[in-house]
Amino acid sequence: MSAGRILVVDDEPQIRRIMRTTLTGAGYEVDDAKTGEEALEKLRDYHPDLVLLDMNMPGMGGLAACREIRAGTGVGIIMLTVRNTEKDKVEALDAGADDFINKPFSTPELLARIRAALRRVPASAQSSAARVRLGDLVIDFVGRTAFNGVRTSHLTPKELDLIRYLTSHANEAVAHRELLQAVWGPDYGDQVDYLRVFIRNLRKKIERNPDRPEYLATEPWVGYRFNGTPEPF
Amino acid sequence: MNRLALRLLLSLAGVAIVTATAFYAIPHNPTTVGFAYLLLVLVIASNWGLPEATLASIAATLAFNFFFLPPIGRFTIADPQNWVALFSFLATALIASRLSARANRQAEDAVERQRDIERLYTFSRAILLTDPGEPLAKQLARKLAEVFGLDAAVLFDRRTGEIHRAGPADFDGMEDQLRDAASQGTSYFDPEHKRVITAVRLGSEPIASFAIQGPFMQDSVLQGISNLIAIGLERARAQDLAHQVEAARRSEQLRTTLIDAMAHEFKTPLTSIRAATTSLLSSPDQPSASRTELLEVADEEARHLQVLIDDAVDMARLESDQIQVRREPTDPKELIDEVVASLRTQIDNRPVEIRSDGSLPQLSLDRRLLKLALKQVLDNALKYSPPRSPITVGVSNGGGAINFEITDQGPGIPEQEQGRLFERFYRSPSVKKQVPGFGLGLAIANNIVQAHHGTLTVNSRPGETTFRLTLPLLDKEAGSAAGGGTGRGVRQ
Repeated sequence: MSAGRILVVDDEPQIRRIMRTTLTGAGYEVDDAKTGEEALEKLRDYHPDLVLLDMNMPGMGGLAACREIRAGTGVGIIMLTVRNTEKDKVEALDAGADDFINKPFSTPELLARIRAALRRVPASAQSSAARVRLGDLVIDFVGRTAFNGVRTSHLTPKELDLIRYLTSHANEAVAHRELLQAVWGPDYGDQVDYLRVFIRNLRKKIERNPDRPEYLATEPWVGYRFNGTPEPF
Repeated sequence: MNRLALRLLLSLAGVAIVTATAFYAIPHNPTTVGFAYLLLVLVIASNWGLPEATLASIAATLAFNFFFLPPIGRFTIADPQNWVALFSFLATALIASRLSARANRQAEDAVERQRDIERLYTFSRAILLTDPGEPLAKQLARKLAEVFGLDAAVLFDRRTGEIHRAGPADFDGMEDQLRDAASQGTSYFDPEHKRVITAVRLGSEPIASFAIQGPFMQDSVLQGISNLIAIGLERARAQDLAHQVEAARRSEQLRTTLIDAMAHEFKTPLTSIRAATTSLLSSPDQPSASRTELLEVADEEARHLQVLIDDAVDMARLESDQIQVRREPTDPKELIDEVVASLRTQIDNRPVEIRSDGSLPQLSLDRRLLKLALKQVLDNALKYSPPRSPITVGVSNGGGAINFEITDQGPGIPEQEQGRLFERFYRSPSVKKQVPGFGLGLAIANNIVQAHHGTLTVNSRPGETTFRLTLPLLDKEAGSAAGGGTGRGVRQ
């Protein structure tokens, strides 16, 4: 039984070699692709738990590939990028990545991030329900979807974890740090920019008007709060 | 002076003609004759001027007295009434001629002023329509002489410290006065040589000065010229400044692009090395097969890094210096094989077909440089075509030259971009986001090929792009330099 299936997408053959050796050694099952196009093709048959996606690739490029993968599945995505700017981070997270790693990286860091991405929030009593409802809003934790009264959207694993954590602490202000550590892991307490992007994406999926959120409220200087108590059904 | 004397004589002649005509030809009385004289004086005054009209008035008065007022034939006058008539005539003639001459002069002034304004306007247009390839001050001096019809015009620009001369006449010297005028705002006037030196001020600050030699000019015109020159110089200075700012901005942008590309290029092997070493360090007890694999990759990538650094150093040298071509006899096919082998990692199992004519003559060329050039072109083909598509590298003998042709099945290069491909730092807007690079490779390949008197051309359509590198077989330089290793410098 492997620790998980990982698809490595990078145009550099040497990086694919290293990843294959390292990740196989760490107990993962690994396949690789040279381009975003090839990755999309492979995703159809090989159902990975996680995609390690390079940002700079010939062809469609990493960001476009990330968007396409995200549009079709809820698989975890970690982007690898050479540039370490705020803009790149936001672009990667906006495109649907769960996390990203700067090149060059150390193998222990890579493995830690992979573990964080594959980690699931332990289900509490409240959120162990398969589906919850609050007014028009329906969240299906098994089907990984959200219905905001108008349309149904897919939720990514991290989005699902976020909403699960927030609804299980409904009507409480949850601090940034607490939320980050609960969803991404103990090393992520300071990555408030991650949260901002994910909350924005989540609002687009569960709110009727993401600019004036009804459920996912911002608690200034503290964190976020889920308004109302969703009922299992 | 001669013209005035002639006019005075003609005025006297006019009086004589009226007198003779009235005296001999026509029946007359003193009143009609008086009016005839008056008419003559007015005509003279309006056409010529006050001196002529005054002379004609006095002559006409004397003639009127002598020939037409009794007693005729003498300068005495019998009837006191005729004295009154005679002096009224003189006064009328003088006043009329004065008025007429003044009107005349004012009209002339108006015409002169209009011409001045037209010239100032022409000069102002000339300031706006300048040629950016020549110092503005020089153009201003030339236009000044041209537009105002000056014998000579000299312009001293205090900012550059240069003196620009124009006009048909020699106008040497006066440099000290020009400098004084430009620093202290003083003016000089030399009526003997018809020379004027005036300061050019911007606000109250003198920024330049000009000297002219030629027809007299009103102060207001000189002031106008001075203002226009000030505007022109200031405008040029503002443009220079804007250009400098733009150049600085572009070089900054260039630097960012370069650093970005370098970062990517160098970080790629570094990533593999670091991932391998940290993996070995963090779990030293992994199976020997995977340890070997990791060490192999680290070693290969360290070598890759070395090649990248060597290439970057070469490129920097080719960028900044002259190209030193060290020729040695080289087999073209061998050269291709070496280039393909050196790009093994980038080729990554892609089909690369090498086609060559059976027997190719040896070429005298700089092996290292040409390898670098071919590598850039092949690397370019690899980067900009689909990952698994085949690439053909051909080498053939034809047209007195050896032709290297590298063909890929990429999407093609739009025609409008083909002309700019070999420019330094040019990167096609359609791919520069996706494919990392310096925008230097093809420019450097082109420089190397030109240093060998060859050509690098591109022929592209969707689905097929061919770069053709042609090196002449009969290269005069090659003959003398073959094996000798003497360098030849080619300016970039």
